[in-house]
Amino acid sequence: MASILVESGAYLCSVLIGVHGPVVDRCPEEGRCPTAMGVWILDLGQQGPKIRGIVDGQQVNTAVLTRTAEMELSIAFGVFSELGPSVCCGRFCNVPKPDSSSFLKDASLFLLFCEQGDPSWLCSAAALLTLQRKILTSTVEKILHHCDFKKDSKTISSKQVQASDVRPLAVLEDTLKYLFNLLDSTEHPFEVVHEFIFDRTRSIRQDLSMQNIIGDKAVHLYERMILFQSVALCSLGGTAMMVMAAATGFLVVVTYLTDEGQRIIIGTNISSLLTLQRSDSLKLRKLDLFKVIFHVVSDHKLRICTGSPNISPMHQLNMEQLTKALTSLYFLYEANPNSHSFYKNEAEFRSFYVLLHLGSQSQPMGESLSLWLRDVPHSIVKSKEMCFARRVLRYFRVGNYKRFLCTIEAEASCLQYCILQPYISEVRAFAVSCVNYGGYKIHPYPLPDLSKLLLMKEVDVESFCSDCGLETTTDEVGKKFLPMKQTSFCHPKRVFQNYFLLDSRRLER
Amino acid sequence: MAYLSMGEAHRRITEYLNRFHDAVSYQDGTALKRLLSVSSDSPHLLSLADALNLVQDASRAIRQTDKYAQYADIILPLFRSLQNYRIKNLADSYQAFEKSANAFIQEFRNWESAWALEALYVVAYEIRVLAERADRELASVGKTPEKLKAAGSFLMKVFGVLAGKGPKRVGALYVTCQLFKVYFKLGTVHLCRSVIRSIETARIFEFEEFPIRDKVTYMYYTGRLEVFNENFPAADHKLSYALTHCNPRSEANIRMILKYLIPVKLSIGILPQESLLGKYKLLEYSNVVLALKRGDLRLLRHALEEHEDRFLRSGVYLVLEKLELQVYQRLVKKIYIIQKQKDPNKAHQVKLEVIVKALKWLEMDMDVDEVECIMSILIFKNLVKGYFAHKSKVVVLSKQDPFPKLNGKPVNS
Repeated sequence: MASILVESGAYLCSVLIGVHGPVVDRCPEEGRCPTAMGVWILDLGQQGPKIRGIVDGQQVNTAVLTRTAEMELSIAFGVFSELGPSVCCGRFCNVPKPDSSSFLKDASLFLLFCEQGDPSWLCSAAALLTLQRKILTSTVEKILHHCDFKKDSKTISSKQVQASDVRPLAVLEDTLKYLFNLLDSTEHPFEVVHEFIFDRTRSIRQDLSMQNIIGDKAVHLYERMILFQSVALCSLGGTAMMVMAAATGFLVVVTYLTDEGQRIIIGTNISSLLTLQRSDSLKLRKLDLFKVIFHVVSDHKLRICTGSPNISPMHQLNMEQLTKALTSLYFLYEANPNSHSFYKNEAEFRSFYVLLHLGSQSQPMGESLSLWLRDVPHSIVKSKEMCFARRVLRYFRVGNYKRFLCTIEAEASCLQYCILQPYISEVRAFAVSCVNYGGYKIHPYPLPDLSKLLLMKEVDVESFCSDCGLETTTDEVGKKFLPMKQTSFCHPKRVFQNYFLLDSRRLER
Repeated sequence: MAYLSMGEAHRRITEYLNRFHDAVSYQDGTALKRLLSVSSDSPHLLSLADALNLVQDASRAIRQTDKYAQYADIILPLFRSLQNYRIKNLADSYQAFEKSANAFIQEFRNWESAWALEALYVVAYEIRVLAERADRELASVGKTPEKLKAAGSFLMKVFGVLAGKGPKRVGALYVTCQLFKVYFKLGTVHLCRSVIRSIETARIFEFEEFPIRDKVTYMYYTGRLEVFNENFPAADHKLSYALTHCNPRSEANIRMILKYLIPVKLSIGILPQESLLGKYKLLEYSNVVLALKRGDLRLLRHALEEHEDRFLRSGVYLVLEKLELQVYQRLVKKIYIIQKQKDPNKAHQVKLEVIVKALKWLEMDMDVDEVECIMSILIFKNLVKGYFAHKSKVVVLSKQDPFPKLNGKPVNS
């Protein structure tokens, strides 16, 4: 089961997706026993959590949860309870008409808007999309929308998909190309462009999943979408995300069963694309690749937003998801040794494990690096990406700050760099402490030299030294120095963005 | 195979049943354990398996006689396990043995004294060994190997049965060691934590009460875990205990202990003699030791590369890699010694360029800035006493003990 978090100003809500089996025991008002198919909303009301939704086209106002659902609900609830559940009422989203050609593109985008004490109402998916666009560009914190409830709407199943609704691979590739060209568009604010691309890349993903398109081309499409999505996320200001979050209350997920009995769960939050198919491991691998990349970049993004290498709880949540995605991915690599012994990106994604475990304190995946390396295939150990990660590891463990920083600057990929950023700040602090401790007292260390050593701009070095509790001096001609043997060194408590970024043209590009 | 008559087959089965009954009745653990060791390939059990495969259904013989019928739940699946083992259906053999073992545990729980501990040890051993073989068979036909995981669950159950106040508790360490072997094989080493916690913190267990062979095995595995976590003082203590108490005739076991103890000792500045490495066939460490003695970074890197797979598989590669700092220390010390021979008054001033040159001879390409970086680390970590002058590119060593020894402690982290 997955859950989605939306931070919404004073409102914090959680929505269940992926319930397995019947969610409700009975529906007192309807007197039926509904299935899990439908649109589900979790209402964290003052009276306790309730599930509301549209089941088989019928509105269900109150429901009693099955034990399984209750348990899963309480887990999801518990995860977010520290963030503060809030009182909110749900507004239902209509499941579009079965003949709607845009359903599968839009199925995962259902937004609910919360307003305390508001009666139930429903709005169309199209109106919601428009609204979402408005929210992105608007400074209004909450927008309400009223629509009519379409009583004859049914949850779509794969039977009802028309041939004209799906696009072949070549068309998807062209669409993606077109979308990426839009990234440079200056006609609209980036947030609007991003939202447009966001929707359409999700749609492409759905087309791929629906048609069961697998193989290298599909993988390539996924990975490109993910990278661009992630870069786009990085480019989105934190403010835009918060405005979007502040304006929306709920997110809705759609679940439907295919003829083959596959449960397809589609859900979205503002910055995540989660489509899970309980199908073969190859498809899961693509999605795990996607999740890993997203979480790596989110980590970077979160850090930059607030200038801290560690932000909880969002950072912790992201790190959790990253490690989960990595675990799934590695499992898939190992589960398919005969089909493809060396996936194209496997070496890089394996290298992430090494980079996440540089320090002895950081064992996010719970296993020591020595143990993990025992089982890595020889071809991966010898790959360029793993050799890079192992060298970086060696420099970090020995404390060779010069080689550590230079190697990252010269060789790290974008994602490797994202992961290594917290360590950059740590290694710089170590470097400064070594230099301060071992330097000759009578000869202060020139800041320009320190700046070259730490790959930092001089102004940042000065600030960094100050945050490390060390004073700097200026001579008669204005040259700055770090006096040696100061006894006030401490690890910097506040960390600015530039402390964990390298001053490097290659990495900026 | 020699012709086996039906009469002879029945005779073998009946003989086994009698032995089983007598062993339980007279509480003879030694006799009982011999009847349970499926994988031992003992002539007696192999001939019994042949008899069972001829008779096919021994259940009637068992159920018809009261004194055998009470053990039917143990014996019938045990027979199936033997039959399958004999015809090399290892997955089925494991499955049947697990059923038998579960029934055995139920009985064992009811026996008040610890007379059947030896037999229980055999059951614990067999469940692991049969599971390993079953998994190999499954993997060879493209199926998911899952029996060892199941064996681990079973052994945890057994541990629970032994973790009580009575005399049976001395068996807990043996089962723990079997669990370690399972978890290490599966790579789920983190699962060792809970059993270790039970052994080391539960008041019912007194470590010194356990049999010596179990203590040695326990210290070996927990020592290895400390190596993986780079907790060198604890690793040294545990592996040294294992080495000291290991049977001196058990060369294979001593070698296994030394394989992990040597990197630990190197990390705390203690070097083994070449003769020890030769005696226990651990020559992969020879060049590592030599590199430390000579201050030869190139030799260290070559040694790690040459035996990379072996070191990675045993989990000591990263430990050995970190010896680099001690190698640098030795190199600088050699330069100092040479300078002292030339001019004792100036020996304590080492130009960074000289170190750059020495590294160049070793085919290590480093510039002055990196050498200064290395020197600053050595000073910071107390491997060198002195300071470096950035302006004049010189390291000035302390005149008193400029190269402190580790003295059994790891390099400052």
